[in-house]
Amino acid sequence: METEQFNIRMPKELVQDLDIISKLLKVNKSEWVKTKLAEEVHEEKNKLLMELSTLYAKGMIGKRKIEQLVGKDIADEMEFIKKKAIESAKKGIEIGRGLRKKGVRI
Amino acid sequence: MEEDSEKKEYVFDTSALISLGDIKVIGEVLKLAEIVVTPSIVKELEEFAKYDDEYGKASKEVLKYKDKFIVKNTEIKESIEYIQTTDNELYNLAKTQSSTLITDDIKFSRHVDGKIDTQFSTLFLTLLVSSGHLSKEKALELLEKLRGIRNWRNNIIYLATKEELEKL
Repeated sequence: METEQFNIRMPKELVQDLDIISKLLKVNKSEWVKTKLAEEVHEEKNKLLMELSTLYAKGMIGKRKIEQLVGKDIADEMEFIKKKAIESAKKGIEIGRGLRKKGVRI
Repeated sequence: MEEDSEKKEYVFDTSALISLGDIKVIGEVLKLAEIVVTPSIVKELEEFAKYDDEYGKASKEVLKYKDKFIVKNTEIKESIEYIQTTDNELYNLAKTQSSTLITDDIKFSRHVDGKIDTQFSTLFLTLLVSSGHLSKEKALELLEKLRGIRNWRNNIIYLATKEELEKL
């Protein structure tokens, strides 16, 4: 996995607490912080994208705003999913109505 | 009323079958449409079915209807980059027989969009409602279940489909 250096200054007390965790769990301090940070980042990212996707799906914000906030890739993907979901729903309705007209029963 | 003697064939991938298996509508879908798969899809479902998680349970439900599926071998004549061999088989199968591909795999759907017709499995929810085989209320309930793991992709599918269902 490609990595990038990311330096942060932390309060001494927090570093001491990390030392305690590291000794008790017998784990590498940096590895433990990395794992915890990854979990938090994943959860927070999903939570924020859930909120953003709700606003977009309900038409409360447009693609351009999404693009400004999170970039083109996610904006394009959201646009594709919304368009395809509406298309699938409408197509299902059309086919279903056709079957109903033909009197197809199950 | 009569049964449809000429059911339309749809090519399904594993993700779509798992979605429909999860909400237990495969039996209903089979009465209105033919489910076409490749041997690789059956193998994938059998692999998932070995586990007792949500995918495993849904796969077991789908496999109950395995004998009613049309299983077709296919040759990969045209290969799409960045998608798996299993998906390339489905793409070629759908293209050869001019069928709609049903997939809930966004990456797969985007890669083949414009080359063949692809739709999400939610097509069958609105189809069952508009053909009079499922109530709107029940469909909304199933849609909520289909939302499953709450991620932003499923959230968009859920909200867009819900809006269309509520118009019915």
